[in-house]
Amino acid sequence: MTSGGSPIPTPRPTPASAVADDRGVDTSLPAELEARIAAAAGEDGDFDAVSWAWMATLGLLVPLALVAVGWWLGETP
Amino acid sequence: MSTHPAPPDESAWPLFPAERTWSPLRLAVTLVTASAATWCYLIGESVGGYLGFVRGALALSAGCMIGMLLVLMAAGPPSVRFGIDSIAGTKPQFGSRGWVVPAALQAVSIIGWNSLLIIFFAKSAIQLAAALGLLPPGTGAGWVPALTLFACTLIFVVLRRGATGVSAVSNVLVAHVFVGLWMLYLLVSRRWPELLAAQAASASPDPLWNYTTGLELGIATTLSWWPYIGAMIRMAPNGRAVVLPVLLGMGAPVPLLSFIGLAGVLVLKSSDPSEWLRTVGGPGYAIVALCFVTAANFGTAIAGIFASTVGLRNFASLERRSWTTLLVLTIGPVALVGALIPELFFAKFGNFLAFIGVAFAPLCGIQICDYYLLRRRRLDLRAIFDGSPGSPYYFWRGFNPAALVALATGCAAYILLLNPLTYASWGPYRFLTASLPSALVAGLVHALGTRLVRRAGRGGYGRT
Repeated sequence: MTSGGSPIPTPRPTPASAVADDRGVDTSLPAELEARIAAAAGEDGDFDAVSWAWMATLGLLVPLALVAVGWWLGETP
Repeated sequence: MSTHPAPPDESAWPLFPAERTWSPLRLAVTLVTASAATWCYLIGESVGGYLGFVRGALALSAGCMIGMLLVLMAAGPPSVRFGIDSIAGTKPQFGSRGWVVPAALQAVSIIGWNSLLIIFFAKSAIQLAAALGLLPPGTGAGWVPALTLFACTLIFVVLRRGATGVSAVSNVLVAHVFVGLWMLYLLVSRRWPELLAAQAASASPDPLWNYTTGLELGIATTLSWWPYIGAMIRMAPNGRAVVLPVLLGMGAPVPLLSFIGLAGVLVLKSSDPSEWLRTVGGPGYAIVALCFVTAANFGTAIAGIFASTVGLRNFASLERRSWTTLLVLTIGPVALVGALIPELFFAKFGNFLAFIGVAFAPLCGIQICDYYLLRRRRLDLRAIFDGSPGSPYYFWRGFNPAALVALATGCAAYILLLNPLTYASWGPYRFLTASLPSALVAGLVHALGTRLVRRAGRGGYGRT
């Protein structure tokens, strides 16, 4: 099943191509996995500048402000 | 390595960009439903032991937002970039076999918590039946095992549809969050003067310690979202589509709904809304509260079991198993606990879960240090899925001792600063919290250990 009912078909299993490291150990991965790795490895970025700005605001500045306000308010009478 | 047996959202393999179709709204709805559960008013009750309403609400909110940022920075990058889950994303730090350590933390945490939630679900359903006159009051205890099995069956049926099932159920159950906010409004609007005057029952004479503990409870609570987050944010296309849903969708509902427990315990000495809503508004309101609790726990359990089941796919022996088999493996322990030892589990397992929870702060510290400082945001995706001895993430026999030692040291630092069971603390805790320094200590130890790993030419540091 594909997520969200998208029309992308489930990939058919394909045979792995033989790959060996310098010790002769088989390091081959299924061709389908290799294709997914090749497609995903092109995704270089994690969070862009706008995302970092939101993270800094909602994860750092706002909480620090809340901490300061809470401390400033003091104990409830 | 096997051929791919599963639909993409039910596997641990990277998703194609075209498969990552969740919009920010869809992700937010799913995360809101996942995060809102019975634990919210238990968290509120804990904070209400040390702080009044306003200070408690502010400290808890701030802590939750800080914790959510740490989780997003730690578990987010590999999921956002490559469409993989939280567990696959730990292989660059823990190794091509060492990832079983965070996987075990995930499994125990999710299965443990969800066993508790499902038992809560069964107990709430029994209370609801009694309130509706379907069962004589006080006679429903024997129904807990049967209702637990019923809930597990429902979860199984929903999760047969994978991520789509999680999202579809969330679209319905998200309504309970608004019911929760209504309950909060009801209590705050009718009891505001009492709420302001209420004193915390277990407050320390040291106001700074009380305040830090409110903050720490918020941080620790949201750090426990680490196991859940990857399986869901991988469905969104990029970082920008993830940030606000995570920070607001997962970070905001927990403190907001925790205010229910906080207000309840301060004013009415009970954090359970099904008890105090009867006091405030009569039996009709109690029925609404019970519906809220029942729906909340069900939604969270579905999301948790989904994340845990995807995590199982990282085991080579389970990679080829059907989704149904994996669901049975994940739901089975929950069903057995609920059916056989619900009361014993209720009484004893919470302590164990408290100790499991201390591991997520160091885990985040290790991941953040490794990804941003040591690897300079470069990951080898192929190495994540290549478990052969020549793979960069093979380290030594598949384990990275630097990360394992760092995790153990971070956990020890946490427990030294704050015993999660007794709340006995050590000096610096009142200024630093326990989660933040334990994450820092774990990150530092990992960085120092990695100098040796790098010298040995292991770990793929300095490569793409």
